[in-house]
Order: sequence, then structure tokens, then C-alpha cells
Amino acid sequence: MAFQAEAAGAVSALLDRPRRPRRRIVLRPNLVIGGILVLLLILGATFASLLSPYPPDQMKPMIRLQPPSLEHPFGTDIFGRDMYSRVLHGARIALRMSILSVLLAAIPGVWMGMLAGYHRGWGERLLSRVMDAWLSFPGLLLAIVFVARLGPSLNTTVIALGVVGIPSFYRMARSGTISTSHMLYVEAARASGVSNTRILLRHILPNLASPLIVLLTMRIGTMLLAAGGLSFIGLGAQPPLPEWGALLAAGRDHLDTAWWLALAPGMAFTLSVMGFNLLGDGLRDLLARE
Amino acid sequence: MRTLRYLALLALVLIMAGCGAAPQAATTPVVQPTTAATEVAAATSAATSEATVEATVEATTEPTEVATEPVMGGTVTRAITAEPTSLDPHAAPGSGQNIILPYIFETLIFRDMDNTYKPYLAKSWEISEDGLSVTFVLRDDVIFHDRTPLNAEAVVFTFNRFKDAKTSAGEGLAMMTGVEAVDEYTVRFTFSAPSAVFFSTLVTPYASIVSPTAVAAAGDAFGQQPVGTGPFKLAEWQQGTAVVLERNSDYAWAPETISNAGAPYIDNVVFKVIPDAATQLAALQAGEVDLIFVNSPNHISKLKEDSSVQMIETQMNSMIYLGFNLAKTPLDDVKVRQALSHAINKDEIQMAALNGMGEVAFAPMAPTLPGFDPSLKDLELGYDPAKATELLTEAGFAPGPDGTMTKDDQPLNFVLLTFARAPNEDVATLIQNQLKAIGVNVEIQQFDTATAAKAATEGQFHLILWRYDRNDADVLNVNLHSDRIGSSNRFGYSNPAVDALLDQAAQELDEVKRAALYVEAQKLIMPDAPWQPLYIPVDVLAISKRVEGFHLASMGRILLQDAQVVAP
Amino acid sequence: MFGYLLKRLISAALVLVAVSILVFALLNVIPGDVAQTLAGDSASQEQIAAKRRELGLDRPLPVRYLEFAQGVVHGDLGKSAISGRPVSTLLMERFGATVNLALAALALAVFFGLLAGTIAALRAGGYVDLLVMMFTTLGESLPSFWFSLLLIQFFALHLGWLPVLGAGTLAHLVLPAISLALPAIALIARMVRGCLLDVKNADFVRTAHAKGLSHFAVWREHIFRNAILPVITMLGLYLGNLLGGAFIIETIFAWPGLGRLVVQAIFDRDFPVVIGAVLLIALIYQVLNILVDLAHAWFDPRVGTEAM
Repeated sequence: MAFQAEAAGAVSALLDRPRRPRRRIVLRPNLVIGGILVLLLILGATFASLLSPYPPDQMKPMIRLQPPSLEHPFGTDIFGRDMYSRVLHGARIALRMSILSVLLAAIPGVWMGMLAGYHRGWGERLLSRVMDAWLSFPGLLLAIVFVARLGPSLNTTVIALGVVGIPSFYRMARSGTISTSHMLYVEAARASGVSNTRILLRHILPNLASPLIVLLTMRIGTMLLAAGGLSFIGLGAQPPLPEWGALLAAGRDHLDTAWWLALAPGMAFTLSVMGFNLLGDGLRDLLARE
Repeated sequence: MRTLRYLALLALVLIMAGCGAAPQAATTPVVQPTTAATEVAAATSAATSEATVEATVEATTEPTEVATEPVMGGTVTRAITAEPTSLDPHAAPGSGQNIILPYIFETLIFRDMDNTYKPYLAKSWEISEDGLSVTFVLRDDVIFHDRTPLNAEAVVFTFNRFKDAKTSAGEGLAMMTGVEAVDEYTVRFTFSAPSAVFFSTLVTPYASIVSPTAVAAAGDAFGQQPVGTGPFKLAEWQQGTAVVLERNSDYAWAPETISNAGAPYIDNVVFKVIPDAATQLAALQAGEVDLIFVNSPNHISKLKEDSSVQMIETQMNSMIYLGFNLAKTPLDDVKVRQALSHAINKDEIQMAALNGMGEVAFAPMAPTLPGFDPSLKDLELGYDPAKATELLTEAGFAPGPDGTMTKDDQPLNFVLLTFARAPNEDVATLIQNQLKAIGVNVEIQQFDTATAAKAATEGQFHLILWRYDRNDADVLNVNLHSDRIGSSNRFGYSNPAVDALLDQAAQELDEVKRAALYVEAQKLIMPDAPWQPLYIPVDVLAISKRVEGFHLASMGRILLQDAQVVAP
Repeated sequence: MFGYLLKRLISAALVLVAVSILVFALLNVIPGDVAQTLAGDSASQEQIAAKRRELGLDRPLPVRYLEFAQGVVHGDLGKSAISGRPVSTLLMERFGATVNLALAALALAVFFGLLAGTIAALRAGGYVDLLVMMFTTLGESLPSFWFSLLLIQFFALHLGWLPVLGAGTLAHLVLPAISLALPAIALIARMVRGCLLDVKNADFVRTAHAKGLSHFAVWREHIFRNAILPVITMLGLYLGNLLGGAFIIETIFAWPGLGRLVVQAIFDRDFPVVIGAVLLIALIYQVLNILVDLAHAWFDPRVGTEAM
């Protein structure tokens, strides 16, 4: 799980880098390709039921393990379920899971980070140490503890990944707040007696918007991978949910005989993650230039 | 100054690269994956649900005639799923150790392919008339790896230690009140009541005889430095990677089923820790290991096409069953349990989840255990969805708005608990689908073994997809006797008439009478439907053809004294 | 500088204390304990309770924590509840293999990341740039748990070039290291590219060019050195993740690393091992953090130690 590292990259690139000179804004290919891939994912997830020729859980043992055909574009699995319908419905799960877990990490993380960056003092130092401790804690262990406690399910995965993800948002928000809270207009607002909450929400949060959007986008991709990894080792989505990681796990025994079982979810996985990564990268370039 | 810093960075990178490379060369493992034979301890290691893991191998391979000079030397490598935490036979039964123990240690007696008991370290034995004492006469030519002679003292020491350890493997000694040395090579066990499970406990690797001097010398570390009388002894334990055994050149007391009474021909047996089943398969195909134990039907199908591998189907004394938690309403209603049982299509499970392998089960006792009777088939609650719906209706359920069977606004939503191991997930998925057809919703919860066992013991389930591996018919006592509610009777099943029969069977030393008692017990159990027996799993040993001459023994062991590595 | 280091060390120690409390509390939340594992599956509740008393697990959490903390202060991490072997020994046995794999992955990631990032930056905006960045992003987006299986199928089984599993020779390292390095290559390449472009356009570089420094000298002296800082920051975090979080890859390749040790320990409920391993991982993390900060100070004297 290299996602912590990714977070640091996304943040430092926006916060630490020296100011770029203004240049013309071009639609970079990564923005376009990433955007298209993400859009496809969203469309697929939204209209999964409409686009699927069969219910994703419908078993037809008579047609088990059929290679891709016109009727079943991605083939069928060992129970005769249509892989195309399953992968499509998997998009819905993937999107829901990754977005929810990112929000679950971002909301408390950003809020605590802003508070810490704004108030400083020993409370901030303590919180930062706790976050450091949190960050240096193996994420998978946390996930296992959550699964053992709450039972394996999509919600557990979301909670576990969300909790693991808090520190990177905290760090981003904290350093961003420290650098903006000395700006003149913030000082002015403070001097004129505007409440702290209002300052945080109205003056500081908008300044964090750019790095936040980039971090959110990139984290969605990494959360997708992490959630898939958990399902892959049996700690995530439970059958019959067509979660992509679970589909990959089911297909791994058939890599050389029924290759389509792992290929379709693998491609869906890779393209979706790639979409978010490219989009995040593109957004960063775009926002950094403005 | 700047250049200096730049150089420092370069140096740092180089040093790191260097650190990365140098130690690897240093830690090259001794494990040279080459050839060889191996043994099957039925051991399903990490994921098994029962304490005693034994298997009965049905197939046999002919030991190669050793008319010509045997091929000496070579290494046999076997994959194990989990690294044992200890090789002390009396430590808590855990992952992997029961596979390795029988090579290092030996037991008083062993069970032959025809389920009879044969002499091993004991030459002969005698049961007293009242069944309250058993006397063994030991071989007088056996020494431990540390050259301590095997004598009655060692056996007394071993069994006191085993009983004091209070592990679940030692449950079969519950009736044992004492063990004493009659003379140098004679040992007598005494019992408070006749104990039918005593002998089946004796043949487990947990009843292995340990060297008293080695135990005294090693103390707590005995599990890391095991000393037994077996044909192999521990050479090296590469933590996290492999356990390496080497030939015990003093060995000269192989049981009569082995042609080579002396030390094994091969030099080493290596147990490689490979947690992932798919990786084990790949390692076998790549020739990096010689023997793997296969659970996954998909892997079995795949290996059948590989001409360099010999497949040996072992049928363990095991069963996969669907258990019901009687402590949860409405599963306390026998009609509901019968309805659910009738909704299960075992043929479909065998076809889709098992690739047509395995054997459909109908009675709680596995066919290889005493107390199995084909006539029990008549009592099976077979696949009959119409009957299932009818029984649910009788129990007061009617389809709710979404088609789910509902009673008093309570829809039938069940949690199905199972542990993560192929093909449990596929079987659970099918059960979910089959119950859906009669309007019952199932949520599958698949956990790692430890968590699943905990949830099972605490009764956090409605339905449980579980497995037993046990080498004795007392599997019914362990699982369905009401005394065991709260521990191994996870189903909350209680029937006084069944309890009486099970108690009687536990004290019956006559195998035939004992089996009849178990048949009677099953006739009462089956209509109560605490379980729906699903299938007898096929566990396959895949062995590289480079290994010849191994013996398959009962309880799934592969004995390697005769094994030769015939190809480099 | 020395004062700063001292401060960082104290704070790292505090973090470790926080981690130990955190892990103690968390493990208390997880259902099941080692008494259950040791007593076996068919043990009764009384047997388990007896085992628990025997192991001292029935005492209150703070008492057990203080006892543990006392041991740690004396350099004793305790013993595995299952095998009875010292936790420090268990950790040392795995540490070497873990470091080997992590450094191999890091070396691969740094080499290809720098290469790809530099090529992309030199050809910024062109097709080569696009191709390189797409390719590395693809690598980053592949689920490594799936890709590693393909690697085994192809390189170990189909071609037979590399061993499937195990540790020991350099050949054993290749496949797991690639699996672990792939996601990081794109991160490094992207960052290197971005930083190089940023720095190239920065004032001081133009000044340097104006001073008449050679192209190469400008790159080496100014651009590269400034670009390296965020990369170092990221690498520190990445390495930290590799040391503790490579469980899936370690499992697939049967690599005897820390990740597998700790996950097995948590499945066995062998908490002393879990705690020891988590502390070790956290310690490595803190050390890496400090090294990264020192590297910042070293490479960029403008970064005052105060600001960190």
C-alpha cells in the first residue's frame, strides 16, 4: 500500500514547490484521458442495471466457464454468471467504496488539520504526533482488526480504509493552513472579530481547495486498489458481490484455462485506477498553473 | 561543498543498493529444490477446524522393488501452508506441525490402511478384561536422536507430559488415570472407565514419544530442538522459509510395512513454507517443490493434465457440512431446519463448486469412519424445494412483499459463517443462491481461521459451513453431545436419547458394537437436522514423478524410508 | 542542528509510545485471544479461561501495558505467546529479508522513476513525454496482487527464467521487487518530471544560465538538486510502507518478511509478536522521517531546521 507515499507527493508538489511562472493553459492529454476513463466508470456504475444483459447474480450452471462470445462478451464464471454484467455492477461497488472511504478520511482529516494548523500550540503538537503514529502503523493490520471486529463487508472496508487515510489529509490541511493563516486577509478577519470557525471555513478552506481536490482524486484511485487488495485476500466484499478484487481472486485459479475470468476485472481495475491517477495528475498541473 | 553533498547522495544510493545485494548472497538457503519423495500427513494445517487432523489414504502406490541398489541421497521438498510455531508434539495443536512431527517422532502404535492397529515403537499390547488397563511391551532396540535409549521411563514421561499439557489433542486421555513403568520395556496405562478414543489418540502425532533427557535439557525450547526416534531429525529451521530435516543414520526400526528397515535413502526432507495455494501449485509445476497438498478443485483439475506429477487422491476422515445454530430463532424449529436442508442441492454443489470431484454426503459420519452405514441414506433430507416451501409454510412462514419468507414481520435473513479456504467460498455462494430460491436470504461471512473459530464458538451465526477432520467416530460426541454446548457443540444441539447413545459408544471397546451404537445415534440425529451433511472433500497429494518408492500409510502419511530420488 | 536532532528524537520516542498504546488498545478490541488459539478449537470456555489466567491475560489492560513498557525499557520485547521464543529474535529473523526486498524494490523504483521522469521532462509536451508518463501510470494502476500472478505465470512457469518463490539469490528477488516497485515508478517519474520542469523555469536557473554555466552544470548543480528534495520525502514514506505493508506480495511469493510475520501473528492472536513488529515498523518509519528531514537540511541549506 503505497498510498501514503502518493499523498505526500501530491501535497508537496502543490504546497512546497516554488511558484510557477504563468503559462498558457492547455488541456494536457492526461487530463483528457483520465477524464474520459473516470466518466466511463461513472456512467457504467450509474447505468449498470440498464447496461447489463443479465442480473449479476443469476446462475446458470449449464453454461459455466464459457469463453467470451456475443452473448457473454466477457464470458461466464464457474456458476454460469455473466461476467460482463458482474464487472459492470462491480463498477458501482468500486466507485461507492472508494469515494466513501476517501470522504471518510478527508472530512475529519481536513478539519483536524485546519484546527491544528490554525491554533498551533501543544494541542497541535500532540495531535501531530498521534497522526505520525497513525501513519507509521501498518494499514493492513488496522484493516484486519476492523474486519475481525465488524465482520467482513463493504462497510467495514470503507471504514478501515477511511480511518487509515486520515493522516495524509491531516498533514495536507495542517501545512496548508499554517501557510495561509499568516496571510493578510486572514489576519484582518481575525482582528475584526470574525469567529474562528468562520475564518476556517470562509477564508482558509478555499485556499486548500486546489491541493485538496488533487489529493481526493488521487486517493480515490489508491483506495480502489487497497479495497480490491482486501477483497482479494478475503477480507473485503463477501459473495455474491461482484467486487473487482473478489472477481480477480476467483479468477486467479483459472489464469491459464479460463483467462477471461481475471482479465475483465483486471482491465476494469487498471483502467479505473489509471483514470483517477491521470485525472489527479492533470488537475494538479492545471491548478498549479492558475 | 555542493559537489560534496551531491556525491554523498550518490554514495548513499550506492550503499543502499549494495546493502540490498550483499546479504542476499549470504543468506542463500540450503533448500535446493530438486527432487524426491515425501509423505502425506493428512494435515490440512492452518485451516482445519478440528484438533485432530488425520486422514485415510485410499489409493496406494506400489513401493518400488528394491532389488537393485537403491539410489542414495537427494532431497524431497514439500510445501506447507503455515509455518509451525513449535515442533513439540505436546504444544498446542497448530498450523503445520502435524505434517512434520511424524518424520521426527514415532508413536507406540500406528493405524494400517485397513484401519487396524499395528506395532510401531510397541511390539505388542494387551487390554485387560474390564477394559480399565492397557499394557504395552516396547521394542528394546530404539534410541532417540540424542542417543538416549527408548524405555518405559520415556513413555511414562511422555504421557504425563502430554496429559499435563491439557491441549485439545490430549482429550482422548481424559479417562486415563495413570501410566506406570512395569519394567524396563513394559508400560501400563490405567483408566477410570473404558476409553474407546484412547487408541485413536495414540496414533496421532501428538502422542509421539519424546526424549526425556532432551526435554530436560531444552526446557521451553524443546519445540525448536525436537528430539524423537523418527527416521529424520531436525537439521535446520530457517524461520519463515523452511524446516530442513536430515537422515537419522541410527535408524533401524521401521515398521513391518516398510521394506527398508534402516535409515532412509534420501538425505533431506525440506518443508517449505508457502502460504498461498496458487503459489504452491506454481512451485510444483516449476519443480521447486516435489509435493503439495491440494484442496482447490480447480487446482486438482489443472494438475491432472500435468504428466510430470502423480496425483494421489486421499480421502480424509472429513466432511463438509452445513450446521444450524439451534440457539437462534427460528432455527430452534425443527421444521425450519428440515426445510433449509431440503433446499440444498448437493449435486449442484458437487458439479459447480467441486468440478465434479468429491462425494456427496448424506449421514453425519464420514464413510471411512466406523459407524457409517449406507442404509442411513433413507433418512437423508434430500433436495426437494417443494417440500422445503411446504415445511416453511407449516412452520408459519409466508412470502413477504419482496418474496422473502416471513413470519410475524420477521423475514428469514441468515448469517452464514465459514472460514477462508477453497472451495468454501464457492460452496457458500451456491448455498446462498439455493436458499434464495425458497425465499431465504443469506449473508456470507468468511473469516480467517482464528476469527471464524471464535465466532463459531460464540455462536455468532445462523448457518455455518464447516469441516471436520477426525480419525475417530467420536466426532459425533465432540460435535453433537449436549455436554459440549458452549465449546465444540456449536449448534446448541441437545437430544438426551442421542447423548445416552454417544456416552455408551465412548465406553464400548468392541468396534462392531460401538459402530452399531453410532448408527443408532445417527438415526436419531438425522431427522433432528442439526446438520445437513454436504460432501466428503477430495484432498489430493500431488507428487513429482522424480520421487519414487514412497509409502502411503493410513492417516494420510507418506513414509519416506523407501523413497528414492530417481531424477536429478 | 544538534538541538534540532535532539528534538526530533524526543518526538520520535513520543510517537513510539503513542503507537504502543494504540496497538495495545486496538488488540484489545479484536475478538479472540491467544488463549483460544492455544486451548484449541474444541476447548470449553472454562479451559480457555484457565489458559487466560495462566498467561496473565485476565489482568487489566493498563497493568499489562505497564509490564510490557517496563520490559521494553530494559530492552525486552517479551516472548511469543505461542512458540515462547523471544520476540526480538523473531523480528531479527525476518528483518533481513524484509530490508533486502524493500531496498531492491526501492532501487528499481528509483532507477526507472528517475529515468522515466528525466526523459519525460527533457521532452516535455512531446509524444515521448506522453508515452513515458502513460506507461508509468499504467504500472501504477495495475493491481499488484494480480499483476504478480501474471509475472509468475509468464516468467517463472512459461519461460522458466526465474524462480516462483522463496528468498535467497538475486533471482528470487526479481519478481517480488518488480511487483512492489511498479506503483512507485510512476510516483517518482511524475514528481521528478514536475520538479525538473518547475526548477528549470525558476529564476535562479535562468540566472545560472546567464552566468554562463554549462548546460550540464546547470542541471547538476541547480535543477537536479532542487528536484531531489520532494523525491526524497516521498521515498522515505514509500520505504516505510514497503517495510511493513508488503503482506500480499510477501504471501504470493512466500517471502519471509515482516508483513507476513505480523499478519500471521494477528491471525494467531500472538499479540506480543504483533506489538513488537508494529513497534519495529514504526521505529523504522520514524528513523526514515528523521533521515528525510536531515536530507532536506543537507541538500537545501535554505530550509532552516527551524521550519521543520
